[in-house]
Amino acid sequence: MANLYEAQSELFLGFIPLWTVPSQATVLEILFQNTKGWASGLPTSSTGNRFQLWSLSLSRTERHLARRLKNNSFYPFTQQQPGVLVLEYYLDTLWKGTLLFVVCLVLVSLDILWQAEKQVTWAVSAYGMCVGLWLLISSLPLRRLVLNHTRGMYHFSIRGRTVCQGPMHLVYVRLALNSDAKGRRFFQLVLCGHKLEPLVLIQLSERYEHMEYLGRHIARKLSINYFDYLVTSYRHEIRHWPLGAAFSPGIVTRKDHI
Amino acid sequence: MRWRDRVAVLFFPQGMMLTMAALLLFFIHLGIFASDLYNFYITHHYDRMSFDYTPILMFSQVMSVCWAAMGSVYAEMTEDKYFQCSALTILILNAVMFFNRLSLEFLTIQHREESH
Repeated sequence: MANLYEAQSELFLGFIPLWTVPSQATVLEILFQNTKGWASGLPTSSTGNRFQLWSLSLSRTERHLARRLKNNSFYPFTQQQPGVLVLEYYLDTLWKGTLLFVVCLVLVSLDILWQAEKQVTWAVSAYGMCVGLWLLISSLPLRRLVLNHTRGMYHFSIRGRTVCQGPMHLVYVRLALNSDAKGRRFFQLVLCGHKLEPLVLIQLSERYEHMEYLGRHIARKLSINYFDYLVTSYRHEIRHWPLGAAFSPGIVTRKDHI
Repeated sequence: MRWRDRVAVLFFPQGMMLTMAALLLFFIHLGIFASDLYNFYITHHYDRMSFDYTPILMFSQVMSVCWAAMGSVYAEMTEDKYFQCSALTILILNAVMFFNRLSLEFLTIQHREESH
């Protein structure tokens, strides 16, 4: 049963196909599985996964991501039960803020940059300490993002407090374009959404085709929307439409507030 | 909204925190400016003015202007007139404080220690 369910969730991400009418025992088993999942749901995720978005492999980042995807096909999420994907993470400003705080603390305590030509300059390091401490404190709580495909909702919470809960079409994977002074174009693969903090899956890379392939793959696995870097493009992949457009998905008028 | 929810929102670094930090810095700069004016016009203790801190104050004021600008960009994204007005006001106050300080520096340039 578990294998069959795995196979189904590989294809449909937990949606039971309509043409397979499950028997009563199967339904009971699914319900039981669900309750078991909910009961043991909270503490199951391993702590190593919480820092997986920090990994800085500076060269060939997309190959690094592909290796991650081979290990966990729902990367960066983990599948808690069929149709329910969970991501627990700490922001990467945690280590950046800690680094800034420690460096500025060392500067202050060793009296480096104390005075220059009778002008007092220690306050620069004090500034750095304050900013680093703020970054550290604000990114210390654990973030938790749940994509619940059985209910069609996503749920974002910080240390157990709900920040945002909404329909699935507000979460998406997209390519973001950066260009340098010489006109070279770099792409980033970002997971973002309404009231979510943008999570960078791949740092700057020049290979558009690889990035697009990986982005589409991740979006298909997570069953969320994929957007190209252009505003209007033939390469968007829309899986979830807003509620008003449910009956005519082709001719939806643009809504600015969504 | 209970206080714990407020704490969770406070830990979420959105634009409001930038505006609040800029406001706090503005009050600090206002206090320094007031003490400078007091020492310049009333007590005439020119050595007690904050000449030694000029680069720091410049840096701090530019930082607070930048934070207020970021906060007002965030406030423009939320369609709340009250937030937009307050963020813009704090931005303008910070910019005005920067130019006040600059003009005070030029006004008191005769009384600096380096000129004697």
